[in-house]
Amino acid sequence: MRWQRRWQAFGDGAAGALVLLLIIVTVLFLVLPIGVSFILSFDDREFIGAFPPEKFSLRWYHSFWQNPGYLDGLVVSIELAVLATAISTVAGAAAAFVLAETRWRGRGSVEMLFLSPKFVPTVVIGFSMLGFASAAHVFDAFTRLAMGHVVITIPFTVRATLASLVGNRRSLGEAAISLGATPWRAFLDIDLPLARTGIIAGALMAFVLSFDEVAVSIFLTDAYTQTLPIALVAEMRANLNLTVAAVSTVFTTIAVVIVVLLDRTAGLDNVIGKGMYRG
Amino acid sequence: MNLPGLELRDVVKHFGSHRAVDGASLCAASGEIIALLGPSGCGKTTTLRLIAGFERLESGHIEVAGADIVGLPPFRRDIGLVFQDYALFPHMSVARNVEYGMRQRRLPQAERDRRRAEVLRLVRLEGMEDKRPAALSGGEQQRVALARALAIAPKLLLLDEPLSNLDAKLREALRVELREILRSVETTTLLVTHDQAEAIGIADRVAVMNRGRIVQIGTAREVYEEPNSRFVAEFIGQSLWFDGRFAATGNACGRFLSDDGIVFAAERPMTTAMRYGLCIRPEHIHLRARAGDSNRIAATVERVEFLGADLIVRCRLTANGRTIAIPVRSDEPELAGPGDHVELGVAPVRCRVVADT
Repeated sequence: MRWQRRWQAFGDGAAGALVLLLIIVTVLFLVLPIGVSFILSFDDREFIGAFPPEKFSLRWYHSFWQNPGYLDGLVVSIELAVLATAISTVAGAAAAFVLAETRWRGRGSVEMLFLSPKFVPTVVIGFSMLGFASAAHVFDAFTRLAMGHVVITIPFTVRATLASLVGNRRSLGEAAISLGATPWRAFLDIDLPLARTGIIAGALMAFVLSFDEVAVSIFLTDAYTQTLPIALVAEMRANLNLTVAAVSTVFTTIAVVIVVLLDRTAGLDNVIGKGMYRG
Repeated sequence: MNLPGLELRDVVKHFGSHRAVDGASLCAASGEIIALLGPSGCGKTTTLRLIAGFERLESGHIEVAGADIVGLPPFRRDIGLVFQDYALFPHMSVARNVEYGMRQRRLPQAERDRRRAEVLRLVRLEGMEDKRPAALSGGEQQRVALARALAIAPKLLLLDEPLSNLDAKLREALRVELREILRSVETTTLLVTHDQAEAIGIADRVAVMNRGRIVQIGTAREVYEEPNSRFVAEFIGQSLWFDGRFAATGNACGRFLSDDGIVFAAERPMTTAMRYGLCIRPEHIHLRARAGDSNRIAATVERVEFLGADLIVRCRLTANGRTIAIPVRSDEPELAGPGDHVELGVAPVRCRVVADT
């Protein structure tokens, strides 16, 4: 009896330790490479040498700052992500509201259409968008990129908004209207605030997705308009040095700043997990 | 002259080819509480939505406090609506919920505070102002919904199955409370329900609806004692119904011949119809015929169920094989057991005859 219990306790303990180990290994696996590139970005050596570096400097950041290709790329990437996120969030949220609140023939197909870019290989989307842009006489690379980025981000904004509208009862809007609110007022007072977390989460995903997108952008950039990830890939091919590590660190920092900002303004718990009816 | 609080005339609404509301008419006095009672799918919820303005009226008239409201959008109708699921705004406190309608009307803050305190006192929820709806019990949510609807001082109050989301015990208590609140505010009220206990317990008059029409309207007692159709007789309470006709005799007291061969002495109504229906309530059926029970129905006792104060004796009629549950006080002497053949007795005055139209 006692032995059995002890074995059970040992088994539980062993399983618990195993799970903990697995979590630690996973976290290390996710964090370590970023950590290595973070440290390497401060390496003072001319070449990519043994890890860890012996002396540190900001030379690669300086080199990043001196390289107009990277800087232009950063500006283009930010502009592009902001524009694509704005369009995708407004259009995606609007589509989600219509899909969630109305019932009509073909509604399911339209919802599927909005989500389909998720399932089409991004390379295919990039190539198709290039063909479409030239057929439509859009030769400006930035416009082309914006079109492509809206297409790849819209499934995320639609999906996130739709998810936050699940369980939103039609009676809520009708209650507001019966109390004297115009339909537009009811939308602003009731539907929009209840969907807020979903819309913000969708916008965040869209921004990050657009910011580090490579496959679609490769088709749509030209010699004068490059995004930062494209510039990075091109530079890596041409002359590999630790500027890439510096750029990666800047990249990561921007992503972290966005997440922190979001946490401050909306509350990360709200955006990611919490149901709207709680608290 | 007092204008009616709510008047419906020949209201019609189709959904596709389905006639959801098929010429419903109704007139409620100002301040009266009317229950619209019917089985699910009878068109009662559609009627409510037509009055609220959420469905477009095809033909007919709807007047609230003497004014035609058909042309008005729902947000200008000044109708308080309590939804079946309460539809409280989950992201607003109780106070914000209750004040919502007054904010739309741009009432000053002092007026809003005064009115909010007034309606929350009415529904006995003082001190709950800062809570979110999710933190309230079902009964409390229901009262917040009522307070929110009353806060706009509506000309008409609509309640959609107000107690259906609550458990049985709470429902009983809230029914009494709801009735008292509605009495005290003196607002014309239309209550939509499929639960006759709810309708009878709250309303002044009951309008029975079937297949898109209001088939009978009256006090609960009138509707119960004098149903005007088989549908009403069987929907409100239990009844034993016989289709048949009157024998051609000159007697003052007519002889009703049921299609399954039972002869009843019953008073012939002042109408001339070929076919009639005869309705008997189970409490008027006696297991052992009493003096004056000149109508007899042969039956066999199937089961006797003990329910505490009452016994339910289930009998199968010999003539048509239908069963009827007859209530008997349990302190009465044992009258019959399973398998016994009995002659059920009914007084002719208890046989309510309805012309079949």
